[in-house]
Amino acid sequence: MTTKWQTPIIFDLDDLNAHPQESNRRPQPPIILSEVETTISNAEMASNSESFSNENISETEKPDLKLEGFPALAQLVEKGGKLWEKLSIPTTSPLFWLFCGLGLWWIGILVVDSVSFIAARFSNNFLIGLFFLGLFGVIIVSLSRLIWAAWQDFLALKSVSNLQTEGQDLLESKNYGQGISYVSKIARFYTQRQDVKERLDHFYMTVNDSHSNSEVCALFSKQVLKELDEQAHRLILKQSKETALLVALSPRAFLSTILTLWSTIKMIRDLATLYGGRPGLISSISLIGKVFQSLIYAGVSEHIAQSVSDLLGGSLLSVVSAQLAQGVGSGILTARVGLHAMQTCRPLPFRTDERPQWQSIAKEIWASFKSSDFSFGKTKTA
Amino acid sequence: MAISQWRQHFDEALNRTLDRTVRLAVTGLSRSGKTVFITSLVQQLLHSADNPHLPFFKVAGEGRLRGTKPQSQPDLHIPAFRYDVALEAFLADPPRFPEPTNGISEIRLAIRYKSSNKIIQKLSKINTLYVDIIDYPGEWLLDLPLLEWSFDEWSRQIALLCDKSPRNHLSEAWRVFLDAVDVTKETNETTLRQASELYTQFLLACKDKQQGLTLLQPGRFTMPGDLKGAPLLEFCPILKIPLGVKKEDSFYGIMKKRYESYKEHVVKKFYKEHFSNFDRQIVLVDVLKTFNTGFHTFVDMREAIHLVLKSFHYGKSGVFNRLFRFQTKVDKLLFAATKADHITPNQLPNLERFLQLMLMQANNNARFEGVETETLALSALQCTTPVSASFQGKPLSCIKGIPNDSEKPLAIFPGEIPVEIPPPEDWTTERFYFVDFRPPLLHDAHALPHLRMDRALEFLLGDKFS
Ligand SMILES: Nc1nc2c(ncn2[C@@H]2O[C@H](COP(=O)(O)OP(=O)(O)OP(=O)(O)O)[C@@H](O)[C@H]2O)c(=O)[nH]1
Ligand SMILES: [Mg+2]
Repeated sequence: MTTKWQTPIIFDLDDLNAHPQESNRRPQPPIILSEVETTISNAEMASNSESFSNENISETEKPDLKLEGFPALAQLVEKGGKLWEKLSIPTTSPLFWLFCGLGLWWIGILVVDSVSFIAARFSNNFLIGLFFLGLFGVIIVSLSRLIWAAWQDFLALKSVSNLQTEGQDLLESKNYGQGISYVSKIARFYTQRQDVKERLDHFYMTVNDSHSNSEVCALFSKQVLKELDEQAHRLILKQSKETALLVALSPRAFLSTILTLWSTIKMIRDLATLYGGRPGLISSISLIGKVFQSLIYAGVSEHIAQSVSDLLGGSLLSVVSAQLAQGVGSGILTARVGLHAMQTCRPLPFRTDERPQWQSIAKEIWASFKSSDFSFGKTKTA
Repeated sequence: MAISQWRQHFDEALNRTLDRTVRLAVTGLSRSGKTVFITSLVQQLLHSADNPHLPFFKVAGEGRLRGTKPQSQPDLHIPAFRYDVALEAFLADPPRFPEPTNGISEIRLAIRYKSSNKIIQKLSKINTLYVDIIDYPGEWLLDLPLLEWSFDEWSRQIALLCDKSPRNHLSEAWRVFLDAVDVTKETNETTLRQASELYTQFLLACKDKQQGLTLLQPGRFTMPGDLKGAPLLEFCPILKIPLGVKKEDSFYGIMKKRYESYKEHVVKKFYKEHFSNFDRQIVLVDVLKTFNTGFHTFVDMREAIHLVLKSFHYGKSGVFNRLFRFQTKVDKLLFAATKADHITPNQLPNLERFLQLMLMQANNNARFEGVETETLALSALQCTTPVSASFQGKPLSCIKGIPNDSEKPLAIFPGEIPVEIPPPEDWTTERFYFVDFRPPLLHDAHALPHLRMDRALEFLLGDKFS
């Protein structure tokens, strides 16, 4: 008889690592096992099953490379191949090849020129040649280190967005076992942070194997990330209030724009640091790019005008000064940039009911204006 | 002075109106886990203020709970629920479960909390919620359907049941005895007693662990409690109802009269006093037991639960409301599969789905009447730990614990919970093998390890802490 289900199995144990024996209480034990190791499962159970599935995947995806003799190299190539896929660079586009060609051309010229230049120095004078060779070496080393750092940076950012996609799946899953290992990947961001560590410990105390993946994520979000969210919220609020005031008061539009831009970028970087990334140059740029990209997707510009007039009330808008409206508007813009940065940096995506609302920040900005209304009016008239 | 006094009065009055009482009905057939559930619930709440293991019970998770204390209960004639006795059993060496309940008991908990509502917070800093819970033998629950049935109707039901296996051979002795009696004729006390004794033996045989049947009426026959030996319990149904018998002192007439007085003095009293006026209800079901004992026990248990829940009919038309002229106002009903620690965690969703399937009809009825319902798999006292074993080179999740009848720990993969009701021939040990585990060794009883008690608490009481 073929069965569709897994039959019950019993392992009789004296202690954790004992071998199973046939249980005599059981009339008909379906399966007797010769050797069994049981482990207290927690994250371990998950990682077991994970490595298991990874094995499967890597077997099917292994590229056809004849590098059996060099396992390390083979691994590297495989890894690189995977990365290449992940980066999703459009290799079919002629523009890509144009830029590649130009770049290589330029580098080639540089290298060839430098080499012949150094060779010329050597033929002139050995010491001068040595000096330039040394200089060349220094340049090469520092350049490659910079590139390496940027690459690492880029990978870190990539890992956040990978974590986010994984987290999104887990939040919606009803399964068991992957939640804790996923969360411990996030927790690695916070190993140095004393304040987060306490809450992490509490979280690990609370969570257990019978929590489903989505429950584990919800718990982590509630017990560990919520505090960070609140800090981020405060940061954004402060920044948007400042921006709003700055724009409303500043006599020079150009100056205020520059200042706003600068402080916004600083805010984005602060948020990234808060959520555990240490943004370098590249990741900052791509982060900022991402944030603005998502902002454009959201069609902010249309919203801003609407929201300002919502806040002030249509009739009021004509009464208050245009500059005040501008101030509030740029404050709201900053807030939205901040919230998008939050969503980009938070390793575990927000659940729908947790997602921060910019409207509440907008209200607070407006409230802060109202409370400082008098002094504000006076400075304007004075 | 006067104003401050007035203010004080006002505050007190307000406090009283803000304090609320919830009557929680814990419903479950015998051995379904009521006593363990109530003990765990009491213990979780008593230590809730510093208990990190209730993350999904919002008041506790948000740190708004100030503490819980048992209070003297409102009904002074009912014994207090001895959760300390159950705790002692858990803490004994070796740990064991409490004995089957043989009487009714009650507990009232006062839970202090801070409201999350800003307005209420202004009015009073700390609020109190009183929770009343009653524990009773599960056998008595099956008396409830009797209220709706006349003696003839009941007898017909029993006759129907006794036609089928395994009741037909278990009831053999009693039926043979009845066949020899002419029920229309006058009779003597000995015959009556013999008949009821044989019937009681039949019920006890059905209740035996091997048979595992649950639909056993009247409930007091298998768990007499304080009525042990009382003549009130000396009757039994009749298999062939005689037509047109008016004689009061015939076998039939006497049995009928005793049945009616059982209903009047035992059943009605019990329900009137203890099942009136509850606001929240949890129905505990031991699904796993039926997997072990076979398809017929599953059908039997499903029938029993449906009968019981039908009498709780939540709308205006229920027996309850017609008989006692009150409106049950239960607004939340939780169906819980108990002993979820007998299965591996990845089977929990399946267990929930199976219970949903099993109680679909009752669930639909309750929803139709506007009651909010939910289904949950929980364990009031977690006796096992999930472990991972390697089986044929693959990791297999198992549970590990010490079985009730042994000293040695055991790791077991007990089988998968089906999401559809399997055909009768599949209910075998080939497919399901659920072992009863003994309680874990506890160092102190502060917070008993549990599965999803926080979810149950949140559903049943959560909104009362707003
Ligand atoms: N493993 C485990 N077993 C449980 C749990 N709850 C109950 N049990 C088992 O179920 C049995 C019955 O539990 P009780 O709480 O006494 O059941 P009850 O509903 O009060 O039964 P009656 O008083 O006879 O109506 C216990 O002896 C335990 O073996 C649980 O959470 N985990
Ligand atoms: Mg009990």
